[in-house]
Formats: sequence, C-alpha cells, structure tokens
Amino acid sequence: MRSVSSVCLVLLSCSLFASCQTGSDALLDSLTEIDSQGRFLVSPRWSPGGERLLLSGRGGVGLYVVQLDTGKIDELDPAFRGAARWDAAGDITHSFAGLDDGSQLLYSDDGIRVSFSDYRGRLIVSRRDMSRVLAEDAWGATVAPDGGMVAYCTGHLPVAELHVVRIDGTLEYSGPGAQPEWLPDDRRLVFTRPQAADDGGTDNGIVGADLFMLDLATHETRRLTATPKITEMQPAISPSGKLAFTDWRSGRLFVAKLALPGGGS
Amino acid sequence: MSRAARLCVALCALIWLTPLAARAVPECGGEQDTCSCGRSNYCLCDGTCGNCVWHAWHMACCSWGRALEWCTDAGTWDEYATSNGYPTGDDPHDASVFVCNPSGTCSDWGHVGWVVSAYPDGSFDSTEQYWGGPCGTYDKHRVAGFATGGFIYNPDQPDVDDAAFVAETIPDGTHFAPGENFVKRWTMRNSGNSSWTRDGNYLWTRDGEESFGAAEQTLLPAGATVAPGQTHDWDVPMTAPSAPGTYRGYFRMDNYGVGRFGDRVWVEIIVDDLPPEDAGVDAGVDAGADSQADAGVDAGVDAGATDSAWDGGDPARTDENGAETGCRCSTHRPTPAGFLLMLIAGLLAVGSSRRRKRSRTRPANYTVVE
Repeated sequence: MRSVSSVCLVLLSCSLFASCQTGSDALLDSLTEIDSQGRFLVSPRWSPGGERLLLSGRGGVGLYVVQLDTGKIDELDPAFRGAARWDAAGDITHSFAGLDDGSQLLYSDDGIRVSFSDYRGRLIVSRRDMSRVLAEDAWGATVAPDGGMVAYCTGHLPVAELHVVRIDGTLEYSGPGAQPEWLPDDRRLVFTRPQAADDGGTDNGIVGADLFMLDLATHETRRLTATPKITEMQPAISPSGKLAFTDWRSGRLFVAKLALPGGGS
Repeated sequence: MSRAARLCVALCALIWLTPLAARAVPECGGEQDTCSCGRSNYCLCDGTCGNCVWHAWHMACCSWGRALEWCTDAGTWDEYATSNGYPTGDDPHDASVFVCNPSGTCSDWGHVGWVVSAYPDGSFDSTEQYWGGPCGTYDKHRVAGFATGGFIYNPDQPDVDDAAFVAETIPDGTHFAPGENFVKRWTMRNSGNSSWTRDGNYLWTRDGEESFGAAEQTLLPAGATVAPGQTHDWDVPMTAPSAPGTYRGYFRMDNYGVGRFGDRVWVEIIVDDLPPEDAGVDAGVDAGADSQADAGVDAGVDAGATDSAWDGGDPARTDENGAETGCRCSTHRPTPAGFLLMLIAGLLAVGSSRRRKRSRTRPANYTVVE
C-alpha cells in the first residue's frame, strides 16, 4: 500500500478557504491542515511556547497533544473528561485558579482582578476592596493580555452575541459572534460567527461557521474565512499570534499565520 | 397549647397533607405551567422570580410529556433519576436535563437546567432559571464538564439511536493501486441511549456513492453489546476501484428496519494510474471489484455470495471477519457444490485476466468472501 505520509502538515491553498481574504488584504497566511490521524479533534489550546497544541476528542472526551514540528500526536488519555489547560511552565494541569466563592480567576495583575462565576455567568472585576459586576448571564469570557478589556458572549451558541467591555465597564463592541480569542496586541480579537440551523425558529444546532477578526481601534470586523463546507470553531491564538481552529463538522485541525496589516503578528 | 398555636399546627398539617396537585405552582420565571403531563408543576418557585428545578421539571413535562416523580434540591436529581429508573449518562443530548452537583460552581444546592442543543466539544446550550435571581428564564451556553452530575434522558424514548465518529484508519487521500485490497476501520461511539447488539439489528452499512466492493452490511460479533458511551471498531474489507481517480464512499450505523442514524462517515482514496505487478492477486476480492465485462469472473464470486439488492430486499451481510452471516439473505443462494464450481471457475478466469484493462462498472451489490 502506498499511503500518504501520516506525518503532519498538509499545505492547503487559499482556494480551500475561498475567501480567506477580504478586500486586498489576505489575513490568513500559510494555512495548513494538521493530519489528525483519523481522530475527531476539538478545543485547541496553545502551549506557552506555541510549539504544541492540547486538544480534546469528540464530545470533549479524550486528551491529546499535537507536536506541530513533527505532526506527532500523543494520546494522553482517550477517556478523559473535564477541563485541562497548559500552565506557565508548559505542563498540562487539570486545576484552574479558583477563588473562595468558586469563581474562576481570569486575570490578576497590578491590583486588578477579573473573575468569572460560571453558575450565573457573572463577570466580576475587583480593584482593591471594590468589586463590580461587568456582566451577568455571560459565557466564554476572556481578558485581553494587558487586562484592559474583557470579551464575553451571551445567548445560545448559534445566535450568540459577542460583547467587549473596558475594565471600567464601558461597552466597546456588541455584535453577533462567539468564542473570542485575543491577539497579543490587546486590540484585536478573532471570533467565530456560527450559522443557526433553519429548523423553524428554534436555534437547535449550527450548520456552519466562519472566522472573523475585530479591530477595536477601528471597530471594523473583517472576515477571515468563507467556507460553506467547513465549520470553523474555537479559534485559539498562540502567544506569537498563530491561529488554530477546528472544523466541528469533521474534527479536522487547522493552523495559520495571521498576516496583519498594522503589525502585531 | 393556646388557641393560636393549635390553629397554627392545624394549618401546617393541612398544608402538609394537601395533595401535591393542589399545591400547584402555575407560574415561575415568566413561564406558565400550561403543558400537559398528568399533573401540575408542584416545584417551589422563589415568588415568581424563578427556580431551576421548576423550569427543569416544566421542560420535562412539556417535552417528554412526563411528570417527574421528584422535585427535590437540584443536587439530588441525578440520584432520584437513577432510583426512578430514568436513563442517565455523561453525554449531553438534545432535550435532556443536566445536573450540576453542589459545589462552589453550582451553589450548595446544586443546579439543573434543560439542554436545548449539544455540540461536538461537549458543550451545550440550555435554558435555566435561578433561585434568588436574576429573575426569568435564561438562554445559556455551558462548557463541557459543567454538568458534574451528568444528564437525565427521556425514559419514554429509551432507544434513542445515535453514533459519533471517534477515529478512523486510511486517512482521506490515501493512495492505492487499482484493485488493491485494504481494510478501513472506523471507531464509532454509541452516543445514544440504546445498546447496539446483533440481535437488535444494529449494524454498519454502506450509505452511498462508491462501494469499494465492501459488504452492504457489516454485523456486530455474535453476543457483543456496545452500551451507551462505549466505542466499537468497524473493520470493513474493501477493494480499490480498477480505474485511476479519486473515490469516496459513505458508511453509517443502521438500526435495521428502523432507520440509519449517527454520523455519516466516508472513505476517500486515490487510485493511481499504474497498477502494480501484483494487482489482482487476491482473486476472491479482486473479482468482486471487477467489472461487469468480466462476467465469468464475477459470476463465481457473486453467486457464491448473495445476490441481494438494497433497494429491493435484504442486503447481503458479513460479520466483521468478512464471513457471510446470511441471517436475512435468502435470495439466489447456490448449493455448496455449485458454489465451489463457480469459485474455481472464477479463480481460473481471474488468473487469465490479471493484466486485462478494467472498466469502473461493477455489480451493484455483492458480498466480500474471504
């Protein structure tokens, strides 16, 4: 049998992602599909050094690590359920920074602390002895690397609304979108915009999705992908600005460089 | 005891002894108890503000047509569901109840809600209410792992068939020589509520486009059971088509006689231009993949199997070793002696036609015989 190499990177042309550019600026560069070796992969999480990706299997079950330079996939635990992430040292941990009230610590620096309580979806910013609720009924909250802004979502996934607020509570942006991920420049973020299944009005699942980028300096939203056959979800940005995402239809994993006008990549 | 105290005791006893139906809570969190499931919603509500158990009970009533036998603290719902015989599990399903056990995340009483849609990463959309506000019913999206107490499924639909793709061999774009044999494996997880058994007519079936000479159906091993949450490896012997090109064929789970279900998966291969010297060496399978033009060759193998038609009758079946089971294959079965004669004739014919150019046309249905 002469099979394709099971090793790693299958270079895709931009023709696969037919409109991976808008206007004259190509925003996705060197788009590659990582050979998942037959696995259905979701939820990419970059290692601190940007050379590995932590992923889950179908239904969030299983834990895998992809070594990007070789394409090797390590199956850590095919039966794993729950939360896992990289710690600062590049090890995988199953524990999250939690506070006494059960909320999750999202950001802490210079006396400012941002926490998220999953139960009621309560996003809280604390400064010294003062606390205020930034948002309620939120999910998918993520803080900009410099701690200046928080992005979060509300509503069901297919019709989710993306919101960005400054740490003082000022609303910066609100529009359709989900699963935001900040770029290292603190002013841009990548998010997905799912397409709801048309089943007579109830948002029962999604039939597709594409990736977009929001520039909070200009409040301009730009499309990164336009692929009816690929459901791009869960964008993840590495510390150096590389983008990873998965196709929820097939479980395929993609990695790209972001070619950003104005720098930041 | 004073008269006032006696009156209080009597009132309390009256409330306690009042039938639950008479203690209906007709409104909570902006929702009205208008669904019909045999009794009124008797769950407590925080005034009219909301309560997670009132909403979950309400949705089970509306969606399942079922009055849950309990409305206790949320954190005990998983135990009550089990003790009352309700199916439970760790995978979110559309139209199920999620349970979050008491914790820092979900309060000291736990939390329940209604699953609207489940997603491939284990997350799910839900509708929920809260005791103590915020008041009303909320559309939420919950991450995988939030439901620490698992999920409660509709007991009146215990046989919810579903299958989720987990892994495969022979990745898309794998190259083969014309007529080359290979075995494709799909690992599928039982993501439904029903158990897959051979006696229950759960099988793996071709589901369109290129057939690759694969059996129409592949059965589970006798006696095997794939319980909800478990995975099963489906190994399907196949043969690359005889003409160069890119080919794709689809496969799916089938509850035979009920319907196909779960993820529809595929095999996609590239058949190269030049056949290798040893192409067609596996006469039995290769002949099966051969063309209509090689009638003499196919006759032996096809007749040795069953000449069945998916559209017109029961399809041919093999078990996972490729052996024909024939439990529903009753058409055109030759005698053993006839089969042997035809097989010998087929082998001879294949030997003489190994280098013959083949067309892509082939019999629509046949069974691989090892």
